[in-house]
Amino acid sequence: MSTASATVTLPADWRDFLALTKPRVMTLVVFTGLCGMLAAPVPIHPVLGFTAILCIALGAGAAGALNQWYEADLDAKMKRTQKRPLPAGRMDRQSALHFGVGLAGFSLVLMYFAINLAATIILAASILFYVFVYTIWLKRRTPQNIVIGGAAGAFPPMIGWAAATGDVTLMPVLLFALIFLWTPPHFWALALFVKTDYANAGVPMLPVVAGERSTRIQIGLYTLPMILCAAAPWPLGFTGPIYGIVAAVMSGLFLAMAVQVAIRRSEPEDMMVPEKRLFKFSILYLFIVFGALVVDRWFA
Amino acid sequence: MTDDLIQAPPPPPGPAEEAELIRARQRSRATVMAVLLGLFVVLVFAISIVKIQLGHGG
Repeated sequence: MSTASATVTLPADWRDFLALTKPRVMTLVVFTGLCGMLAAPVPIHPVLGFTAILCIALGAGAAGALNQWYEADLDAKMKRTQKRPLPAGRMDRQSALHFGVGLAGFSLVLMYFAINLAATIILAASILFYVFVYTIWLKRRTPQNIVIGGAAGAFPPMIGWAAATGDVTLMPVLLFALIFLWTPPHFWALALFVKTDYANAGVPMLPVVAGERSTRIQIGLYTLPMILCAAAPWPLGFTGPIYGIVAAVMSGLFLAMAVQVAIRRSEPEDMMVPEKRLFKFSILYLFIVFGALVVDRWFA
Repeated sequence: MTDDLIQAPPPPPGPAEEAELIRARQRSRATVMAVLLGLFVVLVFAISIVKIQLGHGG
């Protein structure tokens, strides 16, 4: 690990601290956390619900900041991340570290005093997992980095559920498993069309280490258990037909796109259209399936 | 040939300009911090009221 390339003399702008929290990633985290909370059988007071979601967002922001603190050297090598505050030299690493640790501590203390211990423990586990297991331990060492590291992003619906009910049952575990199994096809679809960027940075993403063929097969293989997890809540009696039908249709579309990516071979100068389509659809998939969960709970 | 058309980077700010820039950054950060602290106070007040209403003021 090395320090960011540019010398920092000015104090960082507040917008750079905001950028450090990866606001775009936070959107999905907040949404799935909110859905987990709203799908819970016990309603939560709106003020407490807002506070719990705020804590999830701050926790995710803290994890993002600590990730950027540790990966400043990697970010400087990739086009996609070169303009972030640290590699661009708009902030010093110590400020990023202090900000990340402070934000993590604040989110946990607020979650504990305003909500409950169960939600606090899961939030702490997700932050620690993302920073220590994914960022520091796995990301530079194994092509399975995003498979295991994906667990960090799968915690929010479980935190939302625990905030409302104070415990964790099979349903939030299924939601956790759904996001956990969704992460590999989602990220590997991205890795297939930004392969050069990852290779230049020396990140052992699956297409770089195991090759494109193996990546495509694994996208197909992970999609199968993912759609089983998405479909399971209806037959198990946790949801009604609204969720069941939406999950089945969306999972069918996901599977069709994943199979198309799995059986394909890219040509020289390939535009990677099916891979880009799968990546974009995977984001929409998660939003719609989790949205259907809430609609089913409140309007069915 | 196109080198003539490429703009030279702006000259580094002088000590007075830099001090002013630093003060401006500090002012904007302090303003944002004040707003966030104000919102936090409101949130803690709201949480306290809700907890008392729900009967677990602890």
